Amino acid sequence: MKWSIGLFIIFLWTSPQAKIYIDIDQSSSRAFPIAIVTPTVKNTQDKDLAEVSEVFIDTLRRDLRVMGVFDVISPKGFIEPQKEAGLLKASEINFDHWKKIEAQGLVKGEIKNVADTFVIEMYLHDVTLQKQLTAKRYVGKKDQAREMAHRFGNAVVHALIGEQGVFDTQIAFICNPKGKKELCMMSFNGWNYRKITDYKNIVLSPAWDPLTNSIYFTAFNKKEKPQLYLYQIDRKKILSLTSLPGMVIGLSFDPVSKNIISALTKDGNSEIYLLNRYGDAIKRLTNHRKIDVSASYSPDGKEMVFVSDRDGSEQVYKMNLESQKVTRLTFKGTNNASPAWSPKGDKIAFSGMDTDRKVDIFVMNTDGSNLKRLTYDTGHNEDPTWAPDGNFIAFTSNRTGKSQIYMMRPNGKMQTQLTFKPWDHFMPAWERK
Amino acid sequence: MIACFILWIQAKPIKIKKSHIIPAHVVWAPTVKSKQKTPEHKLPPPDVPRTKPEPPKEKAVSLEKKPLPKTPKKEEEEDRKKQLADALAQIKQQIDDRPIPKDDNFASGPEDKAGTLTSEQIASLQSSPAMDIYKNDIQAIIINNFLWYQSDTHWVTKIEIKLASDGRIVDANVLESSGNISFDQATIRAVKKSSPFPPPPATLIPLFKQETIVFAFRGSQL
Repeated sequence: MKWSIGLFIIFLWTSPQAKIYIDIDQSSSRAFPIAIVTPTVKNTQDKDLAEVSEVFIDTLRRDLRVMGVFDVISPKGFIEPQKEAGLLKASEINFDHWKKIEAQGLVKGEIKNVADTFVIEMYLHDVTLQKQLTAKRYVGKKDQAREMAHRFGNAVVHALIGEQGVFDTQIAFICNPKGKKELCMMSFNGWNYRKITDYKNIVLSPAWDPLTNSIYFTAFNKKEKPQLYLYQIDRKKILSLTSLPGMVIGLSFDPVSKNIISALTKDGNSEIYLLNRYGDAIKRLTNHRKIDVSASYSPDGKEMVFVSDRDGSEQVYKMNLESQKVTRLTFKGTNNASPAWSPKGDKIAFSGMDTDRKVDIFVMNTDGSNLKRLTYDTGHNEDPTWAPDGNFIAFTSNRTGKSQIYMMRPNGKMQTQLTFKPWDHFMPAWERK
Repeated sequence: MIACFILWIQAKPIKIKKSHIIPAHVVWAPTVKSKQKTPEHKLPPPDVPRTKPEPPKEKAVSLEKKPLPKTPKKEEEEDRKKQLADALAQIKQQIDDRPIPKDDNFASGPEDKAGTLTSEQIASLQSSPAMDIYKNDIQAIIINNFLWYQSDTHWVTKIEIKLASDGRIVDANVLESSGNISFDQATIRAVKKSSPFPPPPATLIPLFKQETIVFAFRGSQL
């Protein structure tokens, strides 16, 4: 053994590593500078073409800007001569015009129409490497311009960041426009904000069913009794399911078993139950004299995470649904709430209160280790929900007064405000794929 | 085996200096944070920078292995300041004394006649304060140009470059691909965007003439 160590040392000593190694284990905190040029219009006389072009490019710019990762350069700063606007291929473009304005990504394209169908051809170029990264062609009607922009935005994100993109996703949430809590929805970028219910009553706990593109939620019915509802997005129809023994705090749907887990005050205090997709209780999962609430499935449907005050203060626990073994995950803070399991299955986000008496968002591994704070000194930050690709967390914050919806990267960076209405927002639930 | 034994006997009296194994800057490493005990019911502080962070010029660089975290003590900090001041003075002197290269490539520079460096000379230059400072400088430049946003991936890309005496990159290739095109492109972009680097100090020019630089981009620790 001593011999082998000696020989190893000799080997190292007589054969020094000649190359000069430099580790790069950090990245810049700067956003990615990208120039997005309005697609050139083939037929300048066609007003619809110009309009589609504007809608497309506005949507694309907003998507990339809201994502927080991109620095979308103002078109006012572009110095490319007008006569070169129609040059779309990497071999034709003079990249010096774009290097001078510090762009690293360049989007150009053109739009034409055949009868009432539009054809948009888009290119993404790498200014530094002076090469084309991706090119896409979209064919659609005028009212599909936004959808096409979302799809090209996802392609840009995939080419530059290596992620799938979430621009074509939606967020459901509870809004409070006239002092009454209603179910609302919006696109990822905050557009298409719309009220779904008009119950003029309390609506809570939206939860996505990705199988049928529907949203479960609870509300008081006309008899002032809690009731489980299902909003079918494609049919724009609300189905009234079963009445509930008590108001629900937190619903979660598992696409594998097609079951729902929810806290119900069925037998006195709040316990977590397994329900079928019609809302009928199948099984009681927790049984404790203290409160158990805010249940959320793991992505594989085999475990759930929930909040209980069984050990004194509100802490996060997880349960194996087969063995029903419960493991405590958090041991710090108070008022821990709203745990949400990441779609990748490796993290749990939740809100909790520190000694500063402010609620903030935290994230930890699924065994409770590696606890990290994501928000700090920005009012109360609550109700985290993961993007379907696991690359963003949406949450509510009252940092500007009213409670608004924000999103951020899972490390807390790139926080962006999504809603700006003069009323409160609660319980965002990001679409699941 | 006998040859190995002779080598072992020969090698035995040689005392390997600490700086040959662990780079001297490890002791200085100002970015190594001491672990503070978190009081009960006190949640940890955010790792989110509340202001835009400065480019991490002081980031420690490891030559081969990641050094173990070590808390800098006051004495060590004093030493570090002194060594840095000495090194800076030395580099300043070197810059003043440095001959203006006739050609921008090493291949035809005046140093060409100097011959090949021995392994001892390479090791000595590798662990010199000038190398430490120069590496930190170009590391900070690369990091500033490295725009990558995923935090939970485990990509590793190694880019090998050949440096000219004026700091320009005269040759570059991907030594090891991560398998992720986007990550690889982000690393190539960072290196290309960083060229030209500051000219290396004169004492290091023979080393850069002979050897290449390898940037090891690691996605898992971002």
